[in-house]
Amino acid sequence: MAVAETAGYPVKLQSGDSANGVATIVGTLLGQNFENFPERIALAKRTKRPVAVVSTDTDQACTIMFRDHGAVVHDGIVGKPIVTVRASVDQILDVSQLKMKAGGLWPVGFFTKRGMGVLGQILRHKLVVKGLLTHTVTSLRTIALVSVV
Amino acid sequence: MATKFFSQEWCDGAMDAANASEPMYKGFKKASTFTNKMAFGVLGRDDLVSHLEWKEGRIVSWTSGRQYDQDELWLDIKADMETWKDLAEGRAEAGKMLVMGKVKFEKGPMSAAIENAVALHHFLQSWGRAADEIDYDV
Repeated sequence: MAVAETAGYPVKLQSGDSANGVATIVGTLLGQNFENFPERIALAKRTKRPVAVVSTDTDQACTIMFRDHGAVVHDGIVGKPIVTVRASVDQILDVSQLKMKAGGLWPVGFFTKRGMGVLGQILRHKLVVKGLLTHTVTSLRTIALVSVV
Repeated sequence: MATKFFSQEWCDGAMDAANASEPMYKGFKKASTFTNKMAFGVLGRDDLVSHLEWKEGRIVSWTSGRQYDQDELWLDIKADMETWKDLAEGRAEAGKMLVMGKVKFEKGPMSAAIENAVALHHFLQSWGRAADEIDYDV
């Protein structure tokens, strides 16, 4: 099931209509982002290894695999994601509103009230971005890909 | 006598309740530009739908049934009756229901729900204040 057919870079849900909620929302968000910000397609293509999002308060997860010709969003954790964001729904909503420039390398969103809040939660391990220190570029790129701004 | 969910009487009451909600108004990313038309429906019940129009963060029209063409709608949101009831009665949070896939975007930008999640939450809570007693068995 294609969530969005965008500029030759479709986003598909591996489980189709029965995909879990977080896979559906992430897939829809990515598809709409590639439509609104086509420059992010190149960013997705540079993300060679899977990344995952875990919604801690709904016990749902998804793994995103970016390919040259589109992305596939799987239910649950699939393979060995290089970056895993473990966050509550509210934290996911906050992270997706952080403005990132230069493909995530200039994370301007972190220098806002909301961004400072996110950073504080990362420092207190309330929000975990596994891979942030070892794969910083991919971590920031992941945030840039799901950002709505 | 209880007011039927999504009836015109319910829509009128929900509009008053939502427009009186300051937390909803303050929850918009930018209320002054929140002008659009949207639909809310019940999954599996094509007969249960309501259309509303927003102007600058306030509802100016809420109709039981279909009022606008699909092309005119900015958002088309559906959930099952139990989810709407849980949201209206404050037992569920809009953001969580969205991420759990209980609230579904049939049409429209997901970014709208994310950026206005606080407003959406308070808006849906106002549904429970549409009448003293609401009959969800419709």
